[in-house]
Amino acid sequence: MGVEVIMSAGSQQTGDTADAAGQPLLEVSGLKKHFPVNSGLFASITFDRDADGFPITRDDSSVKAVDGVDFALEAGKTLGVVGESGCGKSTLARTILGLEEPTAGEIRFDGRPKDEIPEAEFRKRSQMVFQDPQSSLNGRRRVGHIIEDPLEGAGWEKARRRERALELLEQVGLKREYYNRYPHEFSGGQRQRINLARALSISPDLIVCDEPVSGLDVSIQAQILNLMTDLQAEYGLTYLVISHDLSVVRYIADRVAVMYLGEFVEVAPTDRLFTHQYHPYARALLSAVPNPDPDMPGVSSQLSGAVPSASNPPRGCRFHTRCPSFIIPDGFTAEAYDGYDRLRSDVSERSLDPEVNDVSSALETYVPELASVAGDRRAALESAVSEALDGEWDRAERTLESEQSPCQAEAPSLETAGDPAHEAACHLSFETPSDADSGSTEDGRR
Amino acid sequence: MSLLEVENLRTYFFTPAGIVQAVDGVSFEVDAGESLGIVGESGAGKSVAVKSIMGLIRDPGRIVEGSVRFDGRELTELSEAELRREIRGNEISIVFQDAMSALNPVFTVGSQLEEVIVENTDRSPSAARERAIELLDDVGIPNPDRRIDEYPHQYSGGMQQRAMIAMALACDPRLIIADEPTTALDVTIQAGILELFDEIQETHDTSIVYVTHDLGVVREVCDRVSVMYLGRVVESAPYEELYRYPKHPYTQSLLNSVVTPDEILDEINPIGGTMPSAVSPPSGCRFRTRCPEAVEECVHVTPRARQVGDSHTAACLLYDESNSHEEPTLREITNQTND
Ligand code: SF4
Ligand code: SF4
Repeated sequence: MGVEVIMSAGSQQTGDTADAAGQPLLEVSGLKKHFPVNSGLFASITFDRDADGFPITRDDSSVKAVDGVDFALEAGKTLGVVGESGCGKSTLARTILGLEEPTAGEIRFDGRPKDEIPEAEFRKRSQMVFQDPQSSLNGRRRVGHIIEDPLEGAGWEKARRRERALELLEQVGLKREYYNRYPHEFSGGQRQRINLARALSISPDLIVCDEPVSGLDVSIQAQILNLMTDLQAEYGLTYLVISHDLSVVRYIADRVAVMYLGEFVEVAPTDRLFTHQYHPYARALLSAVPNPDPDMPGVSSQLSGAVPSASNPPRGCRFHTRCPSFIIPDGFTAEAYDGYDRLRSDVSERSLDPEVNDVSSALETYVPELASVAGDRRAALESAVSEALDGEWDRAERTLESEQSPCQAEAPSLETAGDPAHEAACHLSFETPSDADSGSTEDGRR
Repeated sequence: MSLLEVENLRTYFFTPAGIVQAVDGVSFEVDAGESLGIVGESGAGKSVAVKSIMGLIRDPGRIVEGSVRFDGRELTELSEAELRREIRGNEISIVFQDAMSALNPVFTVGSQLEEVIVENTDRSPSAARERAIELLDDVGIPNPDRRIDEYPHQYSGGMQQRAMIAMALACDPRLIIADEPTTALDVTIQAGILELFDEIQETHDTSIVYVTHDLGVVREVCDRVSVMYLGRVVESAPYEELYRYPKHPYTQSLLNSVVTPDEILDEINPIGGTMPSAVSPPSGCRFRTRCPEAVEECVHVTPRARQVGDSHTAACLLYDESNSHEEPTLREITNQTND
């Protein structure tokens, strides 16, 4: 992004307003949020006779809902985070706003660590808009009072609050007369307008929107998205928008992050992300969205299998269990590598197939395609099997490990792909998106 | 003769707050082997319309007028017992949005499937088990011979939906009604289910009525589409024809509201306002309160479906004259400039 045009405004303004464009309003680094699998003290303790010393161990496995997320969000811009259910996007939003205590990592707001910002100030400068306006608005309270809540928290007196609420009702496209009505008298779209009015009331810098239009009809979605864009232009708002809907993100975001199992797998300026996806998951996700235009490609379902559990994510690249571009190491065919993989998982569980009694029967059982495997790979398989048969499980495991695919060996980190502002976390090489002679760098979907 | 002919169907709900005219004079037809999409926003009445076909309307709702002919047989005159014995889950099956509402949590998927098969075909229990495994395999459930003995909750959301589709297929129905079957699923899971519907239609030659709010989904699954607004069908056409040459102002604005990941739009142009209540719908044309082209006449005259193209009808007064308008519509213009 470079350090362009840091105008004097940034340093001169009081902490009350966002800095000039180009400066991050929100910076998140190494952010993690894990939830214990077993909550409660007793549930997490198991009796373990084999444990060293005291025969009680704690099961401290955890759901890694957010597991190392970094980004910087410029003031006045919108970052969209997309992903499917269970990817951790909502937890990310809640953790940033302090509704969840982070497990690790740092959140900086307007240049300062969030921990050092007084809570009252942070609350005044950041607001959240939830998905289901029906349940997030208290049905027994008048909408005027609901809109005033944040103002009351900030100590505004009644008459001024009321004046502001009336003004806001108009700004979000409702009528001043609605002040005394109750939420149930409104449609879903109108309730989301009320939510926006409440979030705006205190003139925040940052609004975090979790599925802001999900569940609304398309025409209403469009109205709300337009309203959000207008409000952003008028007040210089910064948005973090969480959505499962790629279309929504495309419409509203400047930058998009695609999230899978607690991590960002691809981050890019919106237009780039939708024209060049490098990460196989981003590509699969996009090609699964139905497009009404009969001239555009239809959906293709490229992913098989379910999303793995976030408490025990796959080793290496978390997407490897479903990746259509999984890298098969040289010297293996896809079938032979599957056999290798079965062998490896049995070795790590310390039990070979009961049919197996010697090296050749083992190889026959696991890798019937052995003839297709390159010589040095074959030799490694043979020694691993004989080590396993000798009970030298650890050695067998190490022998097999050295043959594994990079997709399983190492977690890819976000690296620049094709453009300085575009990053993807995948071991495939990403020189240019349409680099024809490297089979692993296919272009996006078109 | 079409396999299914729905004519001038009216289904009302008699509630303390008034009469909800949920479906008010709806007609459509589905040929054998054809798939029809019924698309509309919430409150359009699309789900009530298809439930009416199956005789699934419960108090305080009632079909007050109209006819539903399936293979020439009038379904609105059948008793509940006849519908259950001869039509439902036999000639016509239905797939809902919420699979768990159709699957019984205390029985294995297999035993539920086998029951349907034994009831509806002349297979013996052991042949039924074989058929059940085959069906699970058909709908893309991996290791069906093992998973057949699992309970519904052991299946993921997408797999439950597939199991329900297997149930719907179990009796070789001639028509499957799908009521928003993928709305609750993630897109990557939905993509697989949509491909499955395509396959079913191809390999079993089953007719499908597919209810959805998503035009993209219609495009994937359906040959033809009927657009509903506030209890009425406003436009019907083969899908591509509808997309390229939408005639009804509501269809046009619906298409203009859709955001897709493929298009770069500076501003979407949504329809203003919200759908009025079906208790006191506007007189004349029901879309007139939001229609950019409404004229005085629209308040008084109820537009009827008119031919506006090849197997293409629209119910709008703009086309209710002998020489209908030839100038390009809003959407046709946007289509040309949008390339
Ligand atoms: S690292 Fe390997 S498994 Fe992961 S996305 Fe890239 S190719 Fe697929
Ligand atoms: S009949 Fe009138 S109000 Fe209805 S869609 Fe046509 S122009 Fe609009």
